[in-house]
Amino acid sequence: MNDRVSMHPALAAYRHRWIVIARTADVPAGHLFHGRLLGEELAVWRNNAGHINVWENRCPHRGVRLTIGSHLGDQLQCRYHGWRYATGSGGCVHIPAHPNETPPARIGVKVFRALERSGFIWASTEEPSSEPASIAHLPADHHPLRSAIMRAPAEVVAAALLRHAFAPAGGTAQRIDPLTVVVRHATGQETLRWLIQPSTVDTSIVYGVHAATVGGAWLEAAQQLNASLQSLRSTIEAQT
Amino acid sequence: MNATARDPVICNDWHPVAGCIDLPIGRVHSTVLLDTPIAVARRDEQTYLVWLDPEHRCRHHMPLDAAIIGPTLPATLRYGHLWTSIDEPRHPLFSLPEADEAGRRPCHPGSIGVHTGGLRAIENFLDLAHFPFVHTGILGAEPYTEVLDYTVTINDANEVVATECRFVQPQAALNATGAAEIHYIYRVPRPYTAILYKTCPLQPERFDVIALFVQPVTETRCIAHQWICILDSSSSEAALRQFQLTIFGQDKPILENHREKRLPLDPRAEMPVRADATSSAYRRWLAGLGVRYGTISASQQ
Ligand code: FES
Ligand SMILES: [Fe+2]
Repeated sequence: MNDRVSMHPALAAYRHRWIVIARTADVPAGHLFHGRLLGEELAVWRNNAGHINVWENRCPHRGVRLTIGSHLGDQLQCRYHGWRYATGSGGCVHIPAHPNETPPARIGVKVFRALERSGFIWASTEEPSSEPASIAHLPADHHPLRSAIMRAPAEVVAAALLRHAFAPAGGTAQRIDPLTVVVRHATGQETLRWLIQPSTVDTSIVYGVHAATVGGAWLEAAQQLNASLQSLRSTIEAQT
Repeated sequence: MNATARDPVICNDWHPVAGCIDLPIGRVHSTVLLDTPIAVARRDEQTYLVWLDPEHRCRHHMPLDAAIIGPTLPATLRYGHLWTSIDEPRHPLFSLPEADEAGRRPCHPGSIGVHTGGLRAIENFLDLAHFPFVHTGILGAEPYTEVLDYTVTINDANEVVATECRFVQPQAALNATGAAEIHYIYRVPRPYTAILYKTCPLQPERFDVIALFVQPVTETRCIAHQWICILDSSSSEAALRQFQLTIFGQDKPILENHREKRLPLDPRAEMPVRADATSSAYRRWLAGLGVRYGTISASQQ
């Protein structure tokens, strides 16, 4: 029983994908956000210029969570012994116990690939095989819905979202990749998109993106969708 | 349980299970040692009992009654604590001669449950480099962050000893009147026991003794029992207790945020630097003793 869980086979299938891990609004300037990606614990933060860092939430020195540390603008400082790590590379730039020495180059935090697009932050544990296609074609005018945590594997959640459809009369729902469900109007126009984050082997987070509708009716529609998503969550969790 | 069965070093050792001030006569103290539910009680002024309570029948603070006493374990009262062993102790309890010196005030500031492995708590106790960041303004302060080289040895009694440790501290003790360079000696007599000898602000030629006795509850939970035996004669016991509890209260949230609650013994698992010489020696010494309980060995990594 190792405390450091190696990646579960059910999650390994998603290793080469860009996976949504947070909404842009979840990581305001100066904040250390605690996230998850395929069972890994993440420390997510942006530097002074707004560049997003997605790091393993673990100081290499003694294994303390970096999310309890301090945001120094372009560096993150561990709370335990004050070691500092640079934005971008994650390399250790200062060891206060030996203040006049340059830290050995081999010391650094494990860094994940990250990008920010269309109001979401994406990350990948290994070299991604493609761009985050699921977000590339979002309608320009869209609204993120409230995210929902579900105690169920991503596969179960994706299947349930597809079945439940949320499609308008005459519309369709389609799973365009293992972690994305797109809902279309009878006219073929996209009205809704679900992005699924496999946090751990049995926990997933669902993010909804709702295309803007004319006449300001989107707020009411969004409220309805939030409510439907919550009831879907109860159904899924009751089954698993 | 499996880990205990595999670890004769820890099972045959003495472990603290209660501070004596926490044991009123005729009342049961229920606790867990090495995944094993036990009960502890003080029958009268002199007699202490420790027994196995596998079904957890003993409720905390219930009256002592012959009917609830199970198979008994060895019990020794020393250094303000009651010590026991879940198997046959192979050694006498470690020695701490200062405990019997005249002019010292023994005090048990408290016992604190920590959701981390006990070896992590000991390692933290042996650590100088965290003072400016965790005990800011008390045991350390920026810019005095440097850890000067010190010496770590294994003494004739096979204990880890670190000498010539120095650190600039704003308020080294309750009776300190300003910042001072403090001299430390650390001694680790047993895997779950560490003792600190610290320059006394009033009598620089003598040392205050501060000990951490850790009760391993499970591999990932412990109870940290503190015991101090210091030369300070002016501060009130309540103030001394408060000072020690404040310090430990600052360590607790850090200790509970280790990603691995057990201590990795593979030197490549974490990233030690020179300032961590005591920690590195401690881990090597644990590996040499064959300690498994509360560790992640190289093969499990
Ligand atoms: S654990 Fe992070 S600096 Fe020591
Ligand atoms: Fe500390």
